[in-house]
Amino acid sequence: MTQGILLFAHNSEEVNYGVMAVWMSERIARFLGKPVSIVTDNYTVESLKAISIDLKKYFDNVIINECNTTQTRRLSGENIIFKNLDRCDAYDLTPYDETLILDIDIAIMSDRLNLVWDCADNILISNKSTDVIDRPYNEFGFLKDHGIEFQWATEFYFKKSEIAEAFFDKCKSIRDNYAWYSMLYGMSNHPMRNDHIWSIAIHEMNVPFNKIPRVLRFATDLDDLVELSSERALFNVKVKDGKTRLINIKDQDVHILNKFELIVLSAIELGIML
Amino acid sequence: MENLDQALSFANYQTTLTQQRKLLTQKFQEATVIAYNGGLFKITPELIGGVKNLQSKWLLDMNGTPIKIENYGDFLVDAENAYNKAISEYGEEFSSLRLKRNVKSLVNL
Repeated sequence: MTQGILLFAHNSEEVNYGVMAVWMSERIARFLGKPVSIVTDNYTVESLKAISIDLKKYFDNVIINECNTTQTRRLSGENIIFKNLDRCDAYDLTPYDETLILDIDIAIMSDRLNLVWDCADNILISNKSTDVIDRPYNEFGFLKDHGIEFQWATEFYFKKSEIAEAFFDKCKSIRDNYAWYSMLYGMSNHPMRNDHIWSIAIHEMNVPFNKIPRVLRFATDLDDLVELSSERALFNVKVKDGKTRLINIKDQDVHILNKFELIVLSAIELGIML
Repeated sequence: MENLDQALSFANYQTTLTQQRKLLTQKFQEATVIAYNGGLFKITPELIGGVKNLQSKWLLDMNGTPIKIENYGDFLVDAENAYNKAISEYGEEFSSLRLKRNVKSLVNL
């Protein structure tokens, strides 16, 4: 059984997701020691070549998949364009029998995710999360008040199997009919969120999937990433009345939503000039 | 650096200490999960002690899935190693936090 990690990265004009994927691949090599494949597009590949990044050095497979659907969302006070809806095609794109899909904005600082390999389950989901300082976020609990449970697409494990194939078929169907599903589940239809597609698919499959055995820790897009190294991530997070609080994350993975600061610090870690 | 200084001036020692302790607890909880023969097991002293008296080759993992354990000796080695490492690190880091008297040292600045 081949095992590996699948990343998705499609550059936009504002955000160099390719650099984040390279940084992520370095982290995975250091902490998890697993093969990594990237799903990307020609524009991103050319952008990385322009800053002298050899993708073959970082990825076992470079899978070109032009993702044409662009969306916009507000992040760190700015509108950004992104393309990420091909995550629903992961089952067809992955070269591995066992695949762990990860977002490219997770600072891997432990080997905890290696627990998923060779497990008895065909699918492991992620729905337990916590903010770095425990601020309450209802949106990461349920899709809406009295709505269905929120599930993260940020990290997701699957084995090539009938049930995993059915899951991704369901995801594709939800993506392709998102307006209908958003009306049905009472949520906004813009932007289309993979987390919401995953949530609906898991709800509609009605199978008691087991979970990746850890809590997904996250810092929001409004939190400042002050320092980042392989040993730690230091955040200056917003609390009430304009005050901030420092938090030091060490030996634990953390999902960093402030992409603008992450790109700068990940490029520094890689020794790349952007 | 101006932002950092401002944050330090606002930061409350007690809340930072509580938060850093909480992170250590979460780290300990995560480090006491092991994978064995396709199952995921939350290792506790009770599990380690209980396994020594089991006759059956089947053990329920943390998701309630029955997992066949052919050799409890091997399982116990993995379980005890994981638990001992996790509790030692937790104890040492927790003690070290208690000695830190300001926010800067709590976040290792």
